[in-house]
Amino acid sequence: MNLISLFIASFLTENIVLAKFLGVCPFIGTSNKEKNAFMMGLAVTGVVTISSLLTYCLYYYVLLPTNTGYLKTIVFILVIASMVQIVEIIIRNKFKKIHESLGIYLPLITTNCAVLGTVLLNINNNFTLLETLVFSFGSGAGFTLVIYIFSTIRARLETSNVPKSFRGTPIALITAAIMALIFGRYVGG
Amino acid sequence: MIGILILSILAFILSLILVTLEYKLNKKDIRQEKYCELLPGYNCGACGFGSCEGMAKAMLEDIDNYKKCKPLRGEPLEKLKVYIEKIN
Repeated sequence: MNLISLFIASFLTENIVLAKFLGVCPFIGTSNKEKNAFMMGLAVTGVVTISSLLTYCLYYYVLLPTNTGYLKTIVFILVIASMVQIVEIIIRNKFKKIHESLGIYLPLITTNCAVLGTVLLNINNNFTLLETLVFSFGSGAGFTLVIYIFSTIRARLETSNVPKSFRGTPIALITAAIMALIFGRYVGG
Repeated sequence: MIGILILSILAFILSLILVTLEYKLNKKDIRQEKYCELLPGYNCGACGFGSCEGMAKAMLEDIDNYKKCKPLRGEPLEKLKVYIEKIN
């Protein structure tokens, strides 16, 4: 499969948040400020790319040769959880303020179905190593793009005239639905 | 059987990586936790730092801050002094 079309697919048309609806919790939760949203997107991109590389190697060189393919779910979760912890340790050390503002959402990347979903999709679609990397990076980049756009819209929504019962999360969900319509129908048609 | 082996070895390797990384990058934290253990733990705020954790954090910057702790006297005070002498 052409690598460029694979990247465009995972980045725009089959966007992981708006088309596959994976990873909606950090999408709604960290998009209050633009800087938080961007750092969250970068963290997810890093985690998903490195995790997909490690899980690819583990699946094809350890699990399949020993006929233990049934262990793939728990092994993948183990690897993803460790990667998230490593990313959190590094962020806590180098970028203290961002760590405080992200709070609990950084460890929540572990149970974020976006990461596990991407990794399992790599296996299901029988990608080669290069296709795996491109697909995972495209998914992470698509997540970053959408969460950044969403945070700018939300910043604008804070100062507009929203009905009282819709303020906060309800209007955010409606905005996300409109974005999903746009990304699903008009981008890549 | 082989599944148990693979999972155990993988978990062991990953935990080794995590522990070495935590130890190398966040050395300060381990001292702060030790301070937290040796302080009284009443979280009274008499020192001006809010809680015992705040006092531990302040002690990382200036070690003499422990003198501000009002409930700390007698044997716990001696223990803290001994620990401070040991690591400095």
